[in-house]
Amino acid sequence: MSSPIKDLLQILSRHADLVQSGLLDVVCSEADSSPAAIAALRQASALRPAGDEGWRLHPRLRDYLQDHLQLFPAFQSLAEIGSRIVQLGALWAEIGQVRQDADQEALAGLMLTLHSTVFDIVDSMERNLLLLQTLMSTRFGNVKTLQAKKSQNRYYQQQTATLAADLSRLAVMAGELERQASAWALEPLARFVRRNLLARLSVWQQGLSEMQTLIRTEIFRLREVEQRHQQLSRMDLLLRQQPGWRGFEADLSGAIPDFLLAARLPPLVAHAAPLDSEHAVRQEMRALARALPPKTPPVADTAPPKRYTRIIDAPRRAAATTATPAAQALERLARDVLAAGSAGLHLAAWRQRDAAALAMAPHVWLVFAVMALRGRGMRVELLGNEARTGEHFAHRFDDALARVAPSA
Amino acid sequence: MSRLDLALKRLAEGCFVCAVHYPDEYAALQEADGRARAEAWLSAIGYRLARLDAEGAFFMAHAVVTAELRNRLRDELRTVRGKLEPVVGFMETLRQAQGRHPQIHAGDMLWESEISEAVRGSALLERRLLEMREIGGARVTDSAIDRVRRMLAQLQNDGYLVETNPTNKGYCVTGKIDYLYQLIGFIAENTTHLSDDAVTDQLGAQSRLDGALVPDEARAGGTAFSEPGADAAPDGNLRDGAGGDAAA
Repeated sequence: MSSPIKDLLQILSRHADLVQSGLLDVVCSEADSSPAAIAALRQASALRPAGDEGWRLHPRLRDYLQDHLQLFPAFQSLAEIGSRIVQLGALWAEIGQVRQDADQEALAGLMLTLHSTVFDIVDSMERNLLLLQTLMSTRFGNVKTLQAKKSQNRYYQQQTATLAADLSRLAVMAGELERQASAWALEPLARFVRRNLLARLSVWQQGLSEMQTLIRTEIFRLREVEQRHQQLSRMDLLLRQQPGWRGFEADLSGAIPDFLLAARLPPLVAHAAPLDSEHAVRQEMRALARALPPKTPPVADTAPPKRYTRIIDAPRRAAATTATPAAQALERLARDVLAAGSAGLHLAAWRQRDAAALAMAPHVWLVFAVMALRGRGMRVELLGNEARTGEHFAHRFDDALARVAPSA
Repeated sequence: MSRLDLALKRLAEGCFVCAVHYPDEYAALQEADGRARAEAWLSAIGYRLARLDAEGAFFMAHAVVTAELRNRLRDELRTVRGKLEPVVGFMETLRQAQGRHPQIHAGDMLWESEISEAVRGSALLERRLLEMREIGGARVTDSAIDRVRRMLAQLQNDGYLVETNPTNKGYCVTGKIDYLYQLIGFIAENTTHLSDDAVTDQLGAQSRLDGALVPDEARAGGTAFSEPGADAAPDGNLRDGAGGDAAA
């Protein structure tokens, strides 16, 4: 039994090659297919004119095929739900009018259309999310260049923003519809809206939000890629144009990036101790032994060994120490100082009385006597001369007063 | 030897374990159990497990930053040129050879034939390669194509590339490249050499075809370098205001 649907499907089946070509690109009557096939598909409204000589597939048919075959061409638009939301509002307003008129037949027709619109919205949203997930998971696998990826990112960022706005509108519309349907005792409709729209809205919004986050991340990554290219180029120029540049001073007082802390363990070097019993070691030892000079037997000496006589010198006698005249004079001076007691003794006056002291120069005697008496624990005070003309203070001395120290 | 043992061995050798170069070891470290065991093993010897970024290569890092380590890192950064050469030059050559759509990030594929073809078609790239002294084992009689081959082999030896298609000479960029980019980024953050402010035009009036004078402020801007591809228009004029007016 023939029917319009069967006839239509048979036409499509008969010219499947042309349908396939039309799915991919605009077909031309001369190059791609026969005019008869084009005419048949034109008659079935499967082809639409594209320009002067070309033909393109009916958009709904293309959408169906791409949807069914999971074909995602570049820059495929997301299914638009904005118009359906508007339609949903208009239908609901009409239902409100018809309900007051109590026209049950018209009300049933409107309900059917409203159900169909809700299903369309659900299908569109499911398809949109599937499309976005596929594109994100493959990172737009159908594009090859960085620029195309950037372009796709921008395109789908815009599309998802539009879709997110539509979803917000849909949430408001569905909530209002469900509330009014409950108020008007249209409980089946309210339940239908709850099950098919309200229950899924949060999932859709969450999924869309994740997609937007992924797209933003992808956009950031691509910017990073471009920045890396730029920095690589500049680094190369720096190295080429500044041969003297060796490095830079970095402030590493704070946190250090992980990559700078990359480390490696020192390589393990095999250090096996060879055993003496090993064949190679034995061979080596034999070779070394053969290379040694021949062993000569010990020869006894014919001449007796030369004898030496040890001569030990007699211990030297201690030389007789004789005191010098100066030392003798010092001893006499020390005795006289002790005899003078606390009154003291002028060294210059005492020198005049001693021949040995007079034999020495006066300044030599004075310094000698002062140091020697101080070494013996006596108190010796230097007696300065009067200041000469032009001097404020005395700078010279020719005499000293020696006396016994009070504690002595 | 298990995959995790191999991964630990690679980490101890100082390798960057990424999905491209060491897929099995990377998979072992991706598992929660494997990662926990690796972290435990590394912490026992004074190190820790780190990654170049959230999805990047694993590597072994010092667990404790001592004053001695900081001083050593400062010394290394004072002579960082040695780490950057010759990899930066090689990667920049590859970037230029790939034209407007460079693919020199982890997981990107490079084909020796494509690079060679680009070098053959560009006198600039050919001269650049022939002037490169950092290519290991290069001879005076080498052609530019020979040098491309040597350059790719050297990058492979350094761990930046891995040969995934020996028949057609296809190479895949490994995750270690992120280390290079992060090092360059660190230099850009801590010096003025790579910043936008330092990039000025150094073309003098004598070297301009139109004879226009370079504005004083452009010359006084810094002592860095110019980017031929970025600052120069195709006709040789500059893209700054003076150049645009002069060209018009």
